[in-house]
Amino acid sequence: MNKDIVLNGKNSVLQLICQQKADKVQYEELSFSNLDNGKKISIKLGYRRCKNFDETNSAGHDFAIIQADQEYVVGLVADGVSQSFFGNIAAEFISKRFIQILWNNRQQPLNHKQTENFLKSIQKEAFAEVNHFVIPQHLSPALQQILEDVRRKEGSKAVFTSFLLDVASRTAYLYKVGDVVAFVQLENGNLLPVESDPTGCWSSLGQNSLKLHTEIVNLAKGILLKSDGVKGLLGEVFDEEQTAETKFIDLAENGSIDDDISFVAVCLNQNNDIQQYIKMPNHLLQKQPNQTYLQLDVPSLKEEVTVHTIPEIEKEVTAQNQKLVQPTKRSIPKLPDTGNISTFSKSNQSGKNAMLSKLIDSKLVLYTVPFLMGILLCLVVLNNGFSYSRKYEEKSSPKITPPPVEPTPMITPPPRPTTKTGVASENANKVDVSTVAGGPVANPDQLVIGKNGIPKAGSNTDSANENKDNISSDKILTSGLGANSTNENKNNANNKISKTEGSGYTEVNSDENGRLKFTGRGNLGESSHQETSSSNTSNSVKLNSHEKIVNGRKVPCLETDPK
Amino acid sequence: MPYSRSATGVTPAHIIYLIDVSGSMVKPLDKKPKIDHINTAIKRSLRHMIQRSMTGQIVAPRYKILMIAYSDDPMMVTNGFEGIDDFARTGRFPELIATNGTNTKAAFSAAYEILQQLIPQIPDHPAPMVCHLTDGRFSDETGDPEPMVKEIMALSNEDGNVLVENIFVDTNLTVEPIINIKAWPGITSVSQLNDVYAKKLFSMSSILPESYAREIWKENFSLSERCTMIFPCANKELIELAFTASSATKL
Repeated sequence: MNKDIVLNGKNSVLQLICQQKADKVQYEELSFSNLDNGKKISIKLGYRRCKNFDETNSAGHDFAIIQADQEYVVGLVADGVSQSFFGNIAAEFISKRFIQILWNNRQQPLNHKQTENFLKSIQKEAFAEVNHFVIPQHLSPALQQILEDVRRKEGSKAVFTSFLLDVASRTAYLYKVGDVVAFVQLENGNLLPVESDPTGCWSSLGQNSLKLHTEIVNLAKGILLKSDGVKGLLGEVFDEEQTAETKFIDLAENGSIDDDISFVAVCLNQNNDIQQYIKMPNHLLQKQPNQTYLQLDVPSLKEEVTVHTIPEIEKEVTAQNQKLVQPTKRSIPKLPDTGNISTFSKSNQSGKNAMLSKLIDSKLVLYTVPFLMGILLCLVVLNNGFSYSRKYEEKSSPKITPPPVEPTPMITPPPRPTTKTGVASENANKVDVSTVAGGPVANPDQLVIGKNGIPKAGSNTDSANENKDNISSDKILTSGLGANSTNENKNNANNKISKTEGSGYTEVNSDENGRLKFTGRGNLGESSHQETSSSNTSNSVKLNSHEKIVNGRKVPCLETDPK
Repeated sequence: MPYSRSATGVTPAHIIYLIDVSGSMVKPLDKKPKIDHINTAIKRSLRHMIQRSMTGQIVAPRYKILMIAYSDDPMMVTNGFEGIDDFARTGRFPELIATNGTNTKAAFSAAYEILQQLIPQIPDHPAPMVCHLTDGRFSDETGDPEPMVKEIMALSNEDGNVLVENIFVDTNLTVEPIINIKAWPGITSVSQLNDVYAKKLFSMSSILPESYAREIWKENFSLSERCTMIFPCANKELIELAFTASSATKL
């Protein structure tokens, strides 16, 4: 079945249309909600051409079409007259033209006279179409002659019933020519058959009496149109349990030997909980809220429901969604061969995160962050000093000498990488980076420090140990290394950081056992050496008497002689 | 309701034509030999049945036709019962030639034998039809066909008794001439007939079922329900009507 779906916000129109030449059972059912009045609108279409046509792949002589938006639904079932000239031509022709005119005039539905005039006005066009039809040449001359006679004397004929349903007012406008069966379900549940003269017929020659029947039914809750080949299908169509599908398929499989079977139906139901009809796929619901899929543009329930009711469209949306989500799921990126990390970060962020990423990626951060951290450190030291002094003063009224102001740290930018290779890993922190001296790294988490505390050069052949070392590195960084040691630590070939503290400096060296040695020297003279373990189990920092931990950082605690 | 079964591809209607091809069929009627009218009528009837069975280019086997031509002896014109779709596919229509005597009884006997075998096989099909076309009295030495016809009419399936239609091709068969064929209601009383043999054929004919009448009305004829299926045909239009009636099984 063709599913011609246009999703375009408020103006979206759904159309289900049969395929006359399909040799399979066609069935589709769509539901969507009117956001203004909360009514759930279900449209259904079933079609199976006569099985006798399968062998020659001839077109079925029924035609079924239903079209809807949130405010109106139009539907039509036509049955080409068998003994006319290829009744399928008339059935298709009248269906498409009449649906179009009904839809175009949905706000001011056609009255009886207008409908009659329209049906007669299109006969000329149909006549031309029938005349242009080429009779298959493989048929026997006798049969060709019979068909030619029929074309000339009878033309192509069809009977049909059509409706226009105003969803808001629940008013149904019915148009009936011939014996296509129609039922209207009223709000009280009763089924109202639409009676008319069954001998009416529309012909491309215009020689038959239309015997058009028009009717307006108020308080309509549902409408069913079905061709005479459909035996028995009735109440199931209005059943919300979707038994119509089972019934129709059974009819199609066991019937339709000698005739086409087709139906269309619309059902209106009050949608008490509109949300329950939003069929969001689970894979969407499980994502983080700031992921791109939320920008998938799901502006209305209708579009969402429609999308996920049609299998093909669902696949398409799923594919789109995966496409959109994929970057955020790509937690194991391959680093570009020659690019820097900022390229990767930028490509994996969006919106505000992208801005932040841009800022982080900027080389400016190499200068601004240490600068800000330095200022922060100074303030902390000052603040701590005052606090401590005040306490001390309360006890012993010491003379307070403020600590010297720490000058802005000057960090030498790392040299440009000479070579770099990157290989994705599935393990913690995701990336193994093998760099030669001075190579860039993504962030501290991505740094793998060798057993000697040195970023490992060459290939990542010992990922387990490297990850272990990686954890150690994290601990070192969070357990006492000054802020000014972080990036420098990564970017220094021998893990040695030179930092000026006023006129002093601090050195961090790793020994052969992976222990880090800090050596500081300031204005006050060379500080004592301290050692801290870089093993996993050692998470403590030894403090000298003139040092203390503030905000996770070791800072000098300067005491002055109370005297 | 009798005679309500539809002729479909699954349950086709069975029609046996018994065509008199005796020497008298060469006599003229309406400016042509009778046999020519018969051949034309047969073709037209078959084409009509093809059209009734047609959906697009597909012709469903809604009719099964068996044709017996008889003069001194009956002979099968068709290869047993042939589907109307076979006629459509091959485009082969029978051409009959008039020969010798008129052994009507033998023709009906042949039909009876066929029906005896057929009926048990088609319980849910439309009741079969025997359409007999003749232009005159049977030969005395061959015997009265009426008893055999009565036996045929007694055969039945679920849809009803076998129908027998008689088409009598000759002039001056009715008391009142049939002028407006489209408006002609058919023969409802034996008193409407002039000819002795026509009266005999009247008693050998079934009553037109209502369902057949409705189908015939669709062809713009006006045969009344319950008229007798005897058609005194003095012209080709009446022959056409008579053949239309033979294939008026409900679809």
